[in-house]
Amino acid sequence: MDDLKELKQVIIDDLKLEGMTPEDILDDQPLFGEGLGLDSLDAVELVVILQKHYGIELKDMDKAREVFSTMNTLAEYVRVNRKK
Amino acid sequence: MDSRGIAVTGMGCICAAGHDVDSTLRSIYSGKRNPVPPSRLQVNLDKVYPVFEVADDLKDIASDANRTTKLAIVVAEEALRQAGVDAEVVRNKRIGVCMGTTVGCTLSNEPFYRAFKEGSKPDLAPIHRYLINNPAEYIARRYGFHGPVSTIANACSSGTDAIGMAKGWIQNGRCDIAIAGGVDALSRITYLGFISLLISSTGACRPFDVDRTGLNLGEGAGIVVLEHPDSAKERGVETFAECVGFGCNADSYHPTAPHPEGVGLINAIRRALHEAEIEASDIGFVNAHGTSTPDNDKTEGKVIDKIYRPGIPAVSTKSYTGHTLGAAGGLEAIFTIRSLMDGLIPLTAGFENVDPECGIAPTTQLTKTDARCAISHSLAFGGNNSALIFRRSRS
Amino acid sequence: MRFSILGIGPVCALGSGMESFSAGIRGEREPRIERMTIESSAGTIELPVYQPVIERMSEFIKPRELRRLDGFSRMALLSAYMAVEDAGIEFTDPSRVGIIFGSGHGPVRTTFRFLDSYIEDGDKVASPLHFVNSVHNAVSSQTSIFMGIQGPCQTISCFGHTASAVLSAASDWLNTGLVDYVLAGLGDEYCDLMGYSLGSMKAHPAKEMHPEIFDKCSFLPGEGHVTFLLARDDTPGRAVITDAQLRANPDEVLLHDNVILSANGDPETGNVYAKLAARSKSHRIFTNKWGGMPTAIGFDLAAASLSDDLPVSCCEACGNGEVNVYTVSK
Repeated sequence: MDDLKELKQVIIDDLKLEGMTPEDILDDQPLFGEGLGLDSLDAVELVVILQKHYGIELKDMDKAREVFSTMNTLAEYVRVNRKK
Repeated sequence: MDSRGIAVTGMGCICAAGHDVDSTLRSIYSGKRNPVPPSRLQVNLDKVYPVFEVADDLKDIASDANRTTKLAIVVAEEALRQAGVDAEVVRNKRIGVCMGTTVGCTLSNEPFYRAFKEGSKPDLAPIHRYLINNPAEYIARRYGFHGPVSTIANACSSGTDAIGMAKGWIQNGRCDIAIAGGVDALSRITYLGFISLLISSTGACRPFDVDRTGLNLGEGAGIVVLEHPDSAKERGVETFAECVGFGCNADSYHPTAPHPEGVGLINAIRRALHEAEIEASDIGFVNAHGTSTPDNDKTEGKVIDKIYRPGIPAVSTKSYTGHTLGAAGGLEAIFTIRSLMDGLIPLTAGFENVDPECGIAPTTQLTKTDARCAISHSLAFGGNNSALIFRRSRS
Repeated sequence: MRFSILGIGPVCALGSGMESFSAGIRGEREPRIERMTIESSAGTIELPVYQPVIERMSEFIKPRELRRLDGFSRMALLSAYMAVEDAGIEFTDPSRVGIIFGSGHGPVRTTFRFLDSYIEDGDKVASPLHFVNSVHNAVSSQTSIFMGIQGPCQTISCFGHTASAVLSAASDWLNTGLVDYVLAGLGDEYCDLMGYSLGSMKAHPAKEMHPEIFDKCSFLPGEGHVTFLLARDDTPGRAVITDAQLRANPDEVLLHDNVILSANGDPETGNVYAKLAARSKSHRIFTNKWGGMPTAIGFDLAAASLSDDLPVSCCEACGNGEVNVYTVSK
């Protein structure tokens, strides 16, 4: 759970989601579109965030779309693939 | 405002395909191209993203100029020579300079910044160099031009915008002649930037192809000499083509993605057609922006399919030059003019299979044309869209 | 060059908006000056820098919507919103509004933030967000996106020729009927590297600006952005720009009785201003209210429009010993 909170904080900081706290991001909320409201430019920044903080290389945007669908899917992907 | 077409009386270019206009067009018409791993950029990446480089180190060109400015100087020399602009013309005519660029006006010398960041107090030579290397200002100073000076930093449409603005200067009586176009050298900043956006390809670019994966960056410069028709007549110089229409419109949509329906591009094309006093059906062929990124080609293809006559030839010459950013509009204006003059449209290298989402097939062979008018598109980050229309001279 | 200035949105060391700005011009508000400590090649020095006072931002844009905008874009966008508010109009046709912004140096802080992203963590993790914001036209295109404007959108970066290129294009767009309104913006940003460079060029930077002394260096950097909402000259507004003499000889240029000089304590351009001062009946200098930047003439034009004694000739040295003179009339 702490890992999830930490991941949320990383996203809040690096995507500059001003005024948000980890509690504001729901675990099963879609990250893009109507959910958290992220878009294609956030998606490429998210790829860099995963590389920088967790050593995860995710350059295939089709795979990325799957991974980035909700906080839960992202957290699970990070848990399995993180190198740091 | 004078609504007549503005004469193009000189052209100059340098890019991966050639060191001047003739050699570049010969190479492009042959359908050959040469993307290579970047030789002047040291990068630490797992994959190689090929680029289209200018081979020449340009060592003998102006020692106080950086590589971007050197590219502009080489090309200005060629264009001015062709237009017969000599010291006497410089004395007697008001000559303006309008250059598009992305890196040419940026305070971003990386070795200097690294040294500053480490606290090793670097010498200020790179700063002094930056302060004298603004492309338009440098060219105006070098030749002693007295007309308006402007460097346009409008991302990937800068070169097209510069020619459009210079056309306006002449029509509105701000100058008699204008040196206009674009220039950019390869830089780590743009190289790493486009890779970070996941729109650079590890293979050679394939504009409009269903399997395209992204662009290749390139470097170069393209400059046209624009001149008031009365001035060209008075000087007795040849008019190669006329610049008859320009349009520029914002999408007002997204910082990096084009409007899915191409709203801004359609508005820019309509504006350019309006200025040229022609219909879309009068356009003989399109020099497309055609970056080979999934988004650009999808939007642009849809617009081409919607606006022009069915089956209109469309070419992406970026398949020979790479995406030269600020230079692209300058180079592509020249390729458009030369295609009108030579009656030949290059094939789009790398294109094999139609993407139904783009809805168009670009040229697949060297295509003959007797078109009188042609259009060049540019789409930029931030949703800037620009279009230039040229008309072949009657000769 | 001829157009009406309907509204002005100045954002600078005097504050944000015309109320703060005019209070500053009247001497009722002092500029915000931050004293930066710089490790220059001449040792540790203190450099006073004019910093913008950002006010009322949240009245125009929700904080959440600002998240991806860097400081330069925020400052410019605020000034654009304030120019429209000052004019008191609403755009009915977004395709009949143009945007043209100019900057001497562009978004320099973000450019270096982008470099930081890969210098600190490796080429593989260069930040796409910083890259996109570091491009010079990020500011004008963000303005088009936020304000829903779909006319021409251009960005100029050409040191001393920046303002003249911006205003000439705006004038041509209006007078040829391309658009009905233009948002014309001018601004520049300060960054640490600039401070280092200035501090290293002048071993002892001035403690304060004295731009009225033309032959002594007292240049201090400033940061700010001013946007003008312009229309054709038959539209009533704050003032009208009726003429510009561009790249003119300071010995020959025509000056009205009232002159504003954009002198900024840089002796390299001081001789141009000294000539103009000697030839003018009366001249004023305001640059020590917002600091030195390549686009500072924008604030001089804003100050001129407040004058109750128009016409005023606003003069900027544009390099090469030449001057641009803009006539601000009623």
